[in-house]
Amino acid sequence: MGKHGAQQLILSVQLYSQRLKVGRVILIALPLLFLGAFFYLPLFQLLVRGLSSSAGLSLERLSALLSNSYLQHVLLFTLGQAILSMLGSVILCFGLAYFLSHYEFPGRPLLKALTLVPFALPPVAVALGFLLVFGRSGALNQTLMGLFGLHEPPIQILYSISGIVLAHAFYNAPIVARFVTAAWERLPMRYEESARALGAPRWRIFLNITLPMLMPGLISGAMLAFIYSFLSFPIVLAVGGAQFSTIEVEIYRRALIQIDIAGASALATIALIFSLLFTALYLWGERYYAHRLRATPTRQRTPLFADVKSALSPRRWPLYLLIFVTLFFFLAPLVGVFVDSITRQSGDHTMLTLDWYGQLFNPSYSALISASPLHSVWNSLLFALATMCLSLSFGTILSIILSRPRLRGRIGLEAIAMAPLAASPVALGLALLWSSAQTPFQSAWLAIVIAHSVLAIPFVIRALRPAFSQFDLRLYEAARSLGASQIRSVLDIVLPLIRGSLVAGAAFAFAISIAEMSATIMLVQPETLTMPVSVYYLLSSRQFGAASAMSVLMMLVLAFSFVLIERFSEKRFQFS
Amino acid sequence: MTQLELRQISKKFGNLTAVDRVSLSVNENELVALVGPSGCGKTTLLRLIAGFEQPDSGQILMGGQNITHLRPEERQVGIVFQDYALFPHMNVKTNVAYGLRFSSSMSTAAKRDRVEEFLQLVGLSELRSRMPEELSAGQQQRVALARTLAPQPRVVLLDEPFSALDQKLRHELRFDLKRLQHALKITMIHVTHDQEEALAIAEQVAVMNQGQIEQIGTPREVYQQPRTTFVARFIGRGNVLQARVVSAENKLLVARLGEDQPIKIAKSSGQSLSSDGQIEILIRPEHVQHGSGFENQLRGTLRGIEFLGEALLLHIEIAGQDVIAKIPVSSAKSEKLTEGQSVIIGFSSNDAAII
Amino acid sequence: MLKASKYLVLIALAAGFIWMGSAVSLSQQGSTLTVYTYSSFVSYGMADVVAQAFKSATGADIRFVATSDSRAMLSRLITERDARGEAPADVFVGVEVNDLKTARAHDVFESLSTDDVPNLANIPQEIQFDSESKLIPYEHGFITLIYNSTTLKPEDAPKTFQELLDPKYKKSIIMIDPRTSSVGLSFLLWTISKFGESGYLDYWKQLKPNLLTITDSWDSAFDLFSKGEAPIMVSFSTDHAYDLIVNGSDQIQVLALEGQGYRTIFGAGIVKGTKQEALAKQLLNILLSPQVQSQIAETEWMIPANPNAQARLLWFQNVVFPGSPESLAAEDVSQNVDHWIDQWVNTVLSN
Repeated sequence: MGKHGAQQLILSVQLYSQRLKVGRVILIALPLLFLGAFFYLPLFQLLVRGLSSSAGLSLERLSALLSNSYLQHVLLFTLGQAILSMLGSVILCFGLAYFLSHYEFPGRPLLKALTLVPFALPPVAVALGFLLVFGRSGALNQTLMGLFGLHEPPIQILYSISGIVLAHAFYNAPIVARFVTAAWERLPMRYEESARALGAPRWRIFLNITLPMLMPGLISGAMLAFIYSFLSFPIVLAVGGAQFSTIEVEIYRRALIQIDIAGASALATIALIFSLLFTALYLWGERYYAHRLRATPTRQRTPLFADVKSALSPRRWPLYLLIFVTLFFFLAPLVGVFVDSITRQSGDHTMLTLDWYGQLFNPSYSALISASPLHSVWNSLLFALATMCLSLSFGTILSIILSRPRLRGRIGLEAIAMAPLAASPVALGLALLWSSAQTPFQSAWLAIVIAHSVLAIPFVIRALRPAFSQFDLRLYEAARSLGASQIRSVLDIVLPLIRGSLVAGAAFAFAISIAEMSATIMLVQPETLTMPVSVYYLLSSRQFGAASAMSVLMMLVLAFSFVLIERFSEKRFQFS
Repeated sequence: MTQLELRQISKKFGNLTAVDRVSLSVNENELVALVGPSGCGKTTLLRLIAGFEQPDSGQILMGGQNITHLRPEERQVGIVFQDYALFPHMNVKTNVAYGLRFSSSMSTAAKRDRVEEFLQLVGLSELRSRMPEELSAGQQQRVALARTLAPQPRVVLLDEPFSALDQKLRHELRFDLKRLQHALKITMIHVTHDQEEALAIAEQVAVMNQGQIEQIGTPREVYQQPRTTFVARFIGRGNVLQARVVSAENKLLVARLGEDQPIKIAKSSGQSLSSDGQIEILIRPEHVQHGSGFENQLRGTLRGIEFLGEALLLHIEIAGQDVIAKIPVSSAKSEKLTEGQSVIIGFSSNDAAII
Repeated sequence: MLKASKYLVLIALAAGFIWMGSAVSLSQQGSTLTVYTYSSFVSYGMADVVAQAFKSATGADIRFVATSDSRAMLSRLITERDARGEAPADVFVGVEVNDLKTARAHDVFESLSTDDVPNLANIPQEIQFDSESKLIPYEHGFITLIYNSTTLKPEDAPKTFQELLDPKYKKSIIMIDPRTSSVGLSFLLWTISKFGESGYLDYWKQLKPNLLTITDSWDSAFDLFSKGEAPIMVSFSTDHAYDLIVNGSDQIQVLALEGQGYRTIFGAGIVKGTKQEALAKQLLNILLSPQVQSQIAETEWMIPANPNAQARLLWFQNVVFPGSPESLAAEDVSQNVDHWIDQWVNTVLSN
């Protein structure tokens, strides 16, 4: 071959690297740059702020905070309530998961979708719902006191750690249930059946066979519940009271009320260290329990109302009780908010009214939310759409990279991409607020969309990664060998086939953006007011009716996006 | 005329050398079978040719032109996967037409005709609007073939295309494939672990083991003249016997199995022997005869009998080595054979080959 | 394939979206003053009174922003100013006397003189709390406890700080966080004024079992109180008058412990960096005008700063005016408030 061959070789190598590598590197770098610029850099600046004192960087402030007895108390309380809330969520999830995975009934997909709504509900609305139902003079206590002629409210859960734990369980049990239901549905009946054939009693089967096989789903769900309870912000304040303070509440209070920027940054630094620890734990847990069950045909569900006889049989009563208690717990606060949104108190009378909804669609300025209510609805929808586009494109790229079969440093990359999952939204909002003040991008709406996207990316990855890992790469290769370019193959073959997961990821991103409040409230300006923040403002100026109406509207938007998730995630193409 | 040429191709995955300095040329309109056990690197080799992997070293030439660094879609190499990889969201016709979307030189009408032509060729015209999941495995296989052939690639790669099918269908389809290859004059590389399939349809058989090609030749050559023990054992059923050379003449070699029993073996002139006098001899079971009166005779103990229908397999132990004889049922005095008895077998010196 | 009905839904959705967009993009014209204040200033109607008076005097509009209570709004003003580098508002209405320290530390307000605000001449010296004359007082009042007379009989109500510690009031008091609310801070300062720096923490330790909860704002406390969650809360001495006049109810009663209350004063000021200083000064003057001041009693439910302002007899009869209101000197509070709050947090919230 000689000289000519060598030249040709060099030429083709250059061509190859130019055409393949450069484009790919840019594509891969984009989402990482995004996370770097709008997540890691701002948080790093926050860290520096928290650590810097007059004498340069030092751990002085941090150690001062950690030796303060009140903050030690806050830290321990935050951890303690998160663990209890996690346990509460796990226990409460089983009723829901068992019911959803074992029984068939009309409206099952709708119920499955609706159970996700609380997850994305503004905490202030949940607190309101809890107060209306579980408060000392709430509906439940009033009913019980009326029924049994009691003088003291029998249920006293608010203003205590049990109220906080219950509220967190209300939030997180549906997520855990979702993971467990998915695992339970895929759990082949034959294991339980063969154990029964061997003569094991039902409870032994559950403990020895079912539970261990549900572990992967349970662990993932429980870890998320823990992380969310750890990061919980307004729910603690609203349900427990100011005497219960978590790190997040403390950061918020210091930054926005006491204007103690240095203290808030130092606290945020502590919160970040925990966040990273939890992300690592979460990823480790997922990996450790990753012995995935082979996708088997979904288990046969028993019809709930097959015939009158079996539906009324006494053997069903415990099940009905379970369903009733579970549904009451999850739906009552939602119903409370809904009822509040269509009633008006006038003296001693309660009247039905649609006035609150009229206010919602009022385009004129309201000082109490510093914008028009309609404006906030419009903003929320716009931000959610923008967040969806941004996080979906970056999440897709990251999922593709992460699902490559041979990838060096996968764990590191995964941790980098998933870290926002456990990051304190209040700290992120704070960090973005300062960094946006320094950079040319001062636009508040961009800052909000960026914050939402950063928080949504882990969820998009969660939704997309299984689809990409399970995707039969040979379909893509077949397209390539038939003459389709990379982009064409992705457009023609890959995207249509993972459409279900894409829709699910998009809907998740949309829902997160609609519901996000903790980071948004740091960044919001009158022109960029969103729905949850206006609910917060309305509640803090005691406009309950309007707040409830806005919450109901949010629930509807969220329910709609979760129904979408449900529809598309069940209609996925099967890969042989 | 050489259509595809591989020059010293190597590919490593981490510490594992999947393909080790493989050179191979495939002539136009030729079907080369690439056989070997699973994990021998044959699929990697295929993926290197298709462009899904980049070789660490070496070159791939198509019609004399270096295509080593071309993208898969630029190579005009068609591939049929083991599980067919039909696009599940497209019907049969759309699947077959997919590869033609990227040809700018063809008119829409010409593309339509081409699709019809190939659907007809594989006998699936009636099923053109079915979805892949509504087809049987054999039908899916034919759609995959039509889809790959429709854009008229310069080389077609088949990655174990029949492995998911039952034996009857496999035989039918491999005959169809051979017919198509002849009719359309296609250059093909057919990867399989089924040596019988390879022998049946290939012009050339390449035997791969541990990333290397151990032997390339016509089916007859690799069957009758295996160059290594691996090839001898892998292609067809073979008795490989250890023996010690007693005397070597120009065309004939006398060796001894165990203590006595000298045997004569025909030797090709070029063949050199190892210095210690130890050799391995290949004798195909169908060449081993039962009874006396042959050029070479060996005495052994019958260890087992298998009834195959048209023939019997005798497992015989001779001087501590196992020998299998396949004898026609008609020629055997089968009823007399019982396990444990002493038997005499024989073979001609021309049927034994030195490896 | 989409069916026709689905298309219709999509078109309707798109139309709704466009309508919303167009409704939203209507922007205001003419000169507008931006005023940050607390939410009850707006929701109870004072903002409208001020805006009307201002409009007829100057022809200009006011855009109020009032999303939470006074301290949170002051903090928000400072945070926004620091983040954006410019004043987000022209005037701030509602700096409580005890937040003077925050206002000074962050240099929020412009200096003023009697020439700028002629009506200031009518305001008594004793409530002019800002020695630097940046903030002008427009209303004041007294922090007391209030109780629900349907669940707590007047004869059972505590009369003194000591009686408040009685175990029969276990979990009966809704307290407000002094870190986030000026009402909560006022009560804390009252206990300091009463028991001294050495004794107030002891008092709080004993009081703690009787607290149902500590809310972050007066609004949420009042919400719990009116929903019947507890019979006693920290509030204002005007609340009985409010309940009587607005709800025609006798339920809310004022509980002036030992016949006293703690003085609270609210002031307004011009935000440094405003581009509309002249208009802002006019607004402050209007805020102190008898016409606006006379509305304070029954919209703000506070005592107007201008003694010439008129109010209904019914109102006056039902407001509790403590015999000798307590208050610590503003300068004293400025110096020590952080330390006092820290001590309180460590004592009350840490276990």
